[in-house]
Order: sequence, then C-alpha cells, then structure tokens
Amino acid sequence: MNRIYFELYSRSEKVTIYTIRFEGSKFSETNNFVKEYSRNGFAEDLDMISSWLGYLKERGAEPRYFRSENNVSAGPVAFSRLRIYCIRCSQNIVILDGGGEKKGQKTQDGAETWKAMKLMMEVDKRLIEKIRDGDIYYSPDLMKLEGELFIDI
Amino acid sequence: MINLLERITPDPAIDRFIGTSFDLSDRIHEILESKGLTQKDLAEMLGKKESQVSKWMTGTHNFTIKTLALLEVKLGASIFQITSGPIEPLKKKRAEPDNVMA
Repeated sequence: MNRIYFELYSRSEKVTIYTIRFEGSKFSETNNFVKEYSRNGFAEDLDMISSWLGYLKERGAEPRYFRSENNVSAGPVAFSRLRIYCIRCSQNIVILDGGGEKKGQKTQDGAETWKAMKLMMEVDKRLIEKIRDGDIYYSPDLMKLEGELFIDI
Repeated sequence: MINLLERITPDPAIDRFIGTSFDLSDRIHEILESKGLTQKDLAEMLGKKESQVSKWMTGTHNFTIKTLALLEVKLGASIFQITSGPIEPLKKKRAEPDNVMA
C-alpha cells in the first residue's frame, strides 16, 4: 500500500493548486515531471504548461481549459508535446500530478501519460471516498481542501 | 514545498501566445453565453465535431485567421480586433507570479 499526500503547490485569489507526493519521496509527482522533462529538450513545452497554469490561476479553473477523460483532467490540450494530468475538483481547486510526452491521439499511446492517468484515476476514486466519509472536506470559502490530506492506494 | 513549475520563466512569446488563446476562448464563451448557445450548438452551426470546438476553447489552441473569421461571421460578433493609431507599448496579459510556494 502506498500513501499519497496532497500538498499545497500554488495559490491565487481564484484557484488553489495541490500536488501529490508519495510517502518517502522527496519530490512531488509534479516536480519529478518538471525535472525529468527539463533535462530532455522539452523547455518550450514546459514553458507552455507553466503559462497555462498561470492563466488558470488568474481566470479560474474553467472546465473548458481542460481535456477530460475517465474523471481525470489534463492540459494543455493543444500545441504542447507534453501533457500534465490533474483532478479538477472545482472551479477553485486543482490537484496536479505529473505527466509525459504525448505519443498519439490516445493517452494509452504513451507509457508515461497512461501511467499518470491511471494514477490520477485511482487518486480520484480514493479522494471521492474520503470526501464521502467526511475525512476530507472543502473549506468554508471553497478554496481549500481540509482534513486528512492523504489517501492510501 | 518547492514549486518547480512556477520557477520556470516562460518565453515571453509563448506566454503571450497562451494568453491570447485564453482571451479568444473567453471571448467566444462570452458570446455563446450571451446568445444562449452551447459549444455543441456552435459545432452544429459550423458543421464541425463538438470535440473540435472543445479544442478551440482550451486556451492553448493556435487559431488561424480563417477560423476566427468563420467564427465571427457565424456568431455575428467581433472576436478579434486589430488596433490602429498611435503605437503603444505592449501590455502584459497577466501579473507576475507573486504567490509561488517557496
């Protein structure tokens, strides 16, 4: 069994961004993704993801800014060779994972993208269970997750 | 928590491209809402798949002038305008990040 923590990654007036980190791991999945691809000639693609996240934070996590598949969201949808996976909890809360290089039309076409999506599908399932059980809940202003900010998968 | 993603300073041209694409998405969304239309309605009006319209609305699509012209004609509203007159300095599309978790 692996424990995964939800950790605050960034916030703005409109959006709070969390990332996920495996227990025992020094880095979050998002940072592992950035480290991996910044070494491999994807600087421009990471620029796009950084910009995309910046505009999301400024304008709100509108559903149209994401690609949705199996209850998991991903972005940026067009132009970038990289895709990062996330759970869009609401207009105000996004949980980021890592991602990978797009290898085809489908997420399953790339080993890294498929791995990231499967992880987020599992995280989403466990998160919903914890919200249903009242162990994780939204803050009164709906801007934060509170309670036991971890899941076991 | 170190946030490596926001430690990246995007190339200004890429940041402007993404910002412009977000502007276009938001403007098309605004027009659709004001006319009581959905993305599905727009796809039907254009004879396109809904998935194509969804791609346009993501804030990362590289619109062609031809697509923008088609959207303006079909929606009967201005989406994109070219400025004229005095040449003014470029305004930033978004504030500098000031809330990076360190």
